Amino acid sequence: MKRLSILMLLIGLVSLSCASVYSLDFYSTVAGMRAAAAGRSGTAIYEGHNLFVMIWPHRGQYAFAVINQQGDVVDDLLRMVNANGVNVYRMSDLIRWMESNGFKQVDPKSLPVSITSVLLSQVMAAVANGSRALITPLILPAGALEYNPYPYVEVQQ
Amino acid sequence: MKMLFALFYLPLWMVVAVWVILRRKKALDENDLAMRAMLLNDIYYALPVPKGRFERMLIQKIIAYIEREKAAMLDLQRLGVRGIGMLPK
Repeated sequence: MKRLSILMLLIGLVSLSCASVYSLDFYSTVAGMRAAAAGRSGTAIYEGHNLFVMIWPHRGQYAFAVINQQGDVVDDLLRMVNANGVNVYRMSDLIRWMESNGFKQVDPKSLPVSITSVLLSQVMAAVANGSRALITPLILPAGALEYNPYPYVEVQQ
Repeated sequence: MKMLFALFYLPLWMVVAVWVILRRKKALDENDLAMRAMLLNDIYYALPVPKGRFERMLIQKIIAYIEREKAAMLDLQRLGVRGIGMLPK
Protein backbone atom coordinates (compact mmCIF):
# COMPACT_ATOMS: atom_id res chain seq x y z
CA MET A 1 0.00 0.00 0.00
CA LYS A 2 2.83 2.35 0.86
CA ARG A 3 4.58 1.66 -2.44
CA LEU A 4 1.32 2.43 -4.19
CA SER A 5 1.07 5.75 -2.32
CA ILE A 6 4.61 6.75 -3.29
CA LEU A 7 3.88 5.74 -6.88
CA MET A 8 0.75 7.91 -6.91
CA LEU A 9 2.74 10.84 -5.50
CA LEU A 10 5.25 10.41 -8.30
CA ILE A 11 2.43 10.35 -10.85
CA GLY A 12 1.09 13.55 -9.30
CA LEU A 13 4.47 15.22 -9.58
CA VAL A 14 4.88 14.08 -13.18
CA SER A 15 1.41 15.44 -13.96
CA LEU A 16 2.57 18.82 -12.64
CA SER A 17 5.30 19.01 -15.23
CA CYS A 18 3.39 17.32 -18.04
CA ALA A 19 1.79 19.81 -20.42
CA SER A 20 -1.10 17.58 -21.46
CA VAL A 21 -2.49 17.44 -17.91
CA TYR A 22 -1.14 20.75 -16.82
CA SER A 23 -3.68 22.98 -15.20
CA LEU A 24 -3.65 26.40 -13.63
CA ASP A 25 -2.34 26.52 -10.07
CA PHE A 26 -3.35 29.09 -7.44
CA TYR A 27 0.26 30.14 -7.20
CA SER A 28 0.67 30.80 -10.93
CA THR A 29 -2.73 32.53 -10.92
CA VAL A 30 -1.50 35.03 -8.32
CA ALA A 31 1.69 35.61 -10.33
CA GLY A 32 -0.30 36.08 -13.55
CA MET A 33 -2.76 38.48 -11.95
CA ARG A 34 0.12 40.52 -10.61
CA ALA A 35 1.59 40.68 -14.12
CA ALA A 36 -1.75 41.80 -15.54
CA ALA A 37 -2.21 44.46 -12.84
CA ALA A 38 1.28 45.75 -13.56
CA GLY A 39 0.41 45.99 -17.28
CA ARG A 40 3.07 43.55 -18.54
CA SER A 41 3.15 42.75 -22.25
CA GLY A 42 0.78 40.03 -23.42
CA THR A 43 -1.67 40.68 -20.60
CA ALA A 44 -5.09 42.30 -20.83
CA ILE A 45 -7.86 43.38 -18.51
CA TYR A 46 -11.52 43.46 -19.51
CA GLU A 47 -14.20 45.19 -17.52
CA GLY A 48 -17.96 44.91 -17.64
CA HIS A 49 -21.01 44.12 -15.49
CA ASN A 50 -18.94 45.06 -12.40
CA LEU A 51 -16.52 42.28 -13.22
CA PHE A 52 -12.87 42.35 -14.10
CA VAL A 53 -11.43 39.61 -16.29
CA MET A 54 -7.64 39.43 -16.20
CA ILE A 55 -5.87 37.58 -19.02
CA TRP A 56 -2.20 36.61 -19.18
CA PRO A 57 -0.06 34.16 -21.16
CA HIS A 58 0.66 30.91 -19.37
CA ARG A 59 2.70 28.01 -20.74
CA GLY A 60 1.84 28.61 -24.38
CA GLN A 61 -1.82 29.19 -23.59
CA TYR A 62 -3.84 31.99 -22.06
CA ALA A 63 -5.07 31.96 -18.49
CA PHE A 64 -7.79 34.15 -17.06
CA ALA A 65 -9.25 35.09 -13.70
CA VAL A 66 -12.64 36.62 -13.02
CA ILE A 67 -12.86 39.04 -10.13
CA ASN A 68 -15.98 39.87 -8.20
CA GLN A 69 -19.58 40.62 -7.84
CA GLN A 70 -22.35 39.53 -10.21
CA GLY A 71 -22.57 35.77 -10.06
CA ASP A 72 -24.70 35.10 -13.12
CA VAL A 73 -22.26 36.44 -15.66
CA VAL A 74 -19.37 34.62 -14.04
CA ASP A 75 -21.30 31.37 -14.10
CA ASP A 76 -22.19 31.82 -17.77
CA LEU A 77 -18.63 32.57 -18.65
CA LEU A 78 -17.19 29.60 -16.79
CA ARG A 79 -19.86 27.24 -18.08
CA MET A 80 -18.98 28.17 -21.64
CA VAL A 81 -15.27 27.65 -21.04
CA ASN A 82 -15.89 24.28 -19.43
CA ALA A 83 -17.25 23.20 -22.79
CA ASN A 84 -20.75 22.53 -21.56
CA GLY A 85 -21.62 25.13 -24.15
CA VAL A 86 -20.22 24.84 -27.63
CA ASN A 87 -19.03 28.38 -28.28
CA VAL A 88 -15.76 28.87 -26.47
CA TYR A 89 -12.76 26.79 -27.47
CA ARG A 90 -10.06 29.43 -27.59
CA MET A 91 -9.22 32.68 -25.88
CA SER A 92 -10.20 34.60 -29.01
CA ASP A 93 -13.70 33.07 -28.73
CA LEU A 94 -13.92 34.15 -25.11
CA ILE A 95 -12.82 37.70 -25.93
CA ARG A 96 -15.33 37.84 -28.77
CA TRP A 97 -18.07 36.68 -26.40
CA MET A 98 -17.07 39.22 -23.77
CA GLU A 99 -16.98 42.09 -26.26
CA SER A 100 -20.40 41.20 -27.58
CA ASN A 101 -21.73 41.09 -24.01
CA GLY A 102 -20.71 44.54 -22.88
CA PHE A 103 -17.15 43.97 -21.72
CA LYS A 104 -14.41 46.34 -22.87
CA GLN A 105 -10.65 46.34 -22.53
CA VAL A 106 -9.37 48.75 -19.90
CA ASP A 107 -6.01 50.08 -18.83
CA PRO A 108 -4.53 48.39 -15.71
CA LYS A 109 -4.34 51.84 -14.13
CA SER A 110 -8.12 52.04 -14.11
CA LEU A 111 -8.42 49.02 -11.80
CA PRO A 112 -9.87 49.89 -8.38
CA VAL A 113 -7.27 50.77 -5.78
CA SER A 114 -8.55 47.95 -3.55
CA ILE A 115 -7.51 45.40 -6.18
CA THR A 116 -4.19 46.93 -7.26
CA SER A 117 -3.09 47.64 -3.70
CA VAL A 118 -3.65 44.00 -2.75
CA LEU A 119 -2.14 42.56 -5.95
CA LEU A 120 0.96 44.73 -5.95
CA SER A 121 1.56 44.63 -2.19
CA GLN A 122 4.63 43.13 -0.52
CA VAL A 123 2.64 40.26 0.99
CA MET A 124 1.33 39.30 -2.45
CA ALA A 125 4.88 39.56 -3.82
CA ALA A 126 5.95 37.07 -1.16
CA VAL A 127 3.13 34.72 -2.15
CA ALA A 128 3.92 35.08 -5.85
CA ASN A 129 7.55 34.27 -5.17
CA GLY A 130 6.56 31.16 -3.24
CA SER A 131 7.90 32.38 0.08
CA ARG A 132 7.10 30.15 3.03
CA ALA A 133 7.88 32.89 5.53
CA LEU A 134 4.91 35.15 5.03
CA ILE A 135 4.62 38.39 6.90
CA THR A 136 1.91 38.06 9.55
CA PRO A 137 0.89 41.37 11.08
CA LEU A 138 -0.41 40.99 14.63
CA ILE A 139 -2.44 43.86 16.00
CA LEU A 140 -2.82 44.09 19.78
CA PRO A 141 -4.45 46.79 21.88
CA ALA A 142 -2.00 49.03 23.66
CA GLY A 143 -0.94 47.55 27.01
CA ALA A 144 -2.39 44.12 26.26
CA LEU A 145 0.89 42.37 26.92
CA GLU A 146 1.18 43.94 30.38
CA TYR A 147 -2.34 42.85 31.36
CA ASN A 148 -2.36 40.08 33.95
CA PRO A 149 -5.63 38.11 33.82
CA TYR A 150 -4.85 36.22 37.05
CA PRO A 151 -3.69 38.85 39.56
CA TYR A 152 -4.56 36.83 42.67
CA VAL A 153 -2.98 33.54 41.71
CA GLU A 154 0.13 32.91 43.70
CA VAL A 155 2.82 30.70 42.38
CA GLN A 156 3.68 27.94 44.83
CA GLN A 157 7.30 26.98 44.98
CA MET B 1 -8.26 5.12 16.36
CA LYS B 2 -7.31 3.25 13.20
CA MET B 3 -10.98 2.56 12.64
CA LEU B 4 -11.73 6.28 12.84
CA PHE B 5 -9.01 7.08 10.32
CA ALA B 6 -10.26 4.35 8.05
CA LEU B 7 -13.77 5.78 8.25
CA PHE B 8 -13.05 9.47 7.75
CA TYR B 9 -9.85 9.61 5.70
CA LEU B 10 -9.41 8.50 2.13
CA PRO B 11 -6.17 6.71 1.32
CA LEU B 12 -3.47 8.85 -0.24
CA TRP B 13 -3.46 7.14 -3.63
CA MET B 14 -7.18 7.77 -3.97
CA VAL B 15 -6.94 11.47 -3.07
CA VAL B 16 -4.03 12.00 -5.46
CA ALA B 17 -5.93 10.19 -8.22
CA VAL B 18 -8.96 12.47 -7.73
CA TRP B 19 -6.71 15.51 -7.68
CA VAL B 20 -4.97 14.50 -10.95
CA ILE B 21 -8.36 13.94 -12.63
CA LEU B 22 -9.81 17.25 -11.39
CA ARG B 23 -6.77 19.16 -12.61
CA ARG B 24 -7.86 18.51 -16.19
CA LYS B 25 -10.78 20.89 -15.92
CA LYS B 26 -10.36 23.98 -18.09
CA ALA B 27 -12.12 26.47 -15.85
CA LEU B 28 -12.76 26.45 -12.14
CA ASP B 29 -15.59 28.26 -10.40
CA GLU B 30 -15.84 28.95 -6.67
CA ASN B 31 -16.96 25.42 -5.85
CA ASP B 32 -14.11 23.90 -7.82
CA LEU B 33 -11.64 26.21 -6.12
CA ALA B 34 -12.95 25.14 -2.72
CA MET B 35 -12.85 21.49 -3.78
CA ARG B 36 -9.25 21.82 -4.90
CA ALA B 37 -8.28 23.48 -1.61
CA MET B 38 -9.98 20.66 0.30
CA LEU B 39 -8.20 18.04 -1.78
CA LEU B 40 -4.85 19.68 -1.10
CA ASN B 41 -5.68 19.58 2.61
CA ASP B 42 -6.63 15.91 2.37
CA ILE B 43 -3.40 15.08 0.55
CA TYR B 44 -1.47 16.94 3.26
CA TYR B 45 -3.05 14.90 6.04
CA ALA B 46 -2.77 11.62 4.14
CA LEU B 47 0.97 11.95 3.51
CA PRO B 48 2.94 9.04 4.99
CA VAL B 49 5.77 9.47 7.49
CA PRO B 50 8.94 9.40 5.37
CA LYS B 51 11.52 6.73 6.10
CA GLY B 52 14.25 6.98 3.51
CA ARG B 53 16.08 10.06 2.26
CA PHE B 54 14.29 10.01 -1.09
CA GLU B 55 10.86 9.82 0.56
CA ARG B 56 11.73 12.68 2.89
CA MET B 57 12.81 14.84 -0.04
CA LEU B 58 9.68 13.96 -2.02
CA ILE B 59 7.34 14.70 0.87
CA GLN B 60 9.10 17.97 1.70
CA LYS B 61 8.57 19.10 -1.89
CA ILE B 62 4.89 18.16 -1.71
CA ILE B 63 4.37 19.97 1.59
CA ALA B 64 6.10 23.08 0.21
CA TYR B 65 3.83 22.94 -2.84
CA ILE B 66 0.69 22.54 -0.73
CA GLU B 67 1.65 25.42 1.58
CA ARG B 68 2.38 27.65 -1.39
CA GLU B 69 -0.95 26.78 -2.98
CA LYS B 70 -2.87 27.41 0.25
CA ALA B 71 -1.25 30.82 0.72
CA ALA B 72 -2.13 31.75 -2.85
CA MET B 73 -5.69 30.43 -2.39
CA LEU B 74 -6.20 32.70 0.63
CA ASP B 75 -5.09 35.69 -1.40
CA LEU B 76 -7.38 34.80 -4.27
CA GLN B 77 -10.27 34.67 -1.79
CA ARG B 78 -9.25 38.02 -0.36
CA LEU B 79 -9.31 39.53 -3.85
CA GLY B 80 -12.78 38.16 -4.56
CA VAL B 81 -11.72 35.90 -7.43
CA ARG B 82 -14.83 34.01 -8.58
CA GLY B 83 -13.20 31.79 -11.17
CA ILE B 84 -10.03 30.96 -13.02
CA GLY B 85 -9.33 29.09 -16.22
CA MET B 86 -7.05 28.43 -19.12
CA LEU B 87 -7.66 28.37 -22.88
CA PRO B 88 -5.49 27.86 -25.96
CA LYS B 89 -4.56 30.95 -27.99
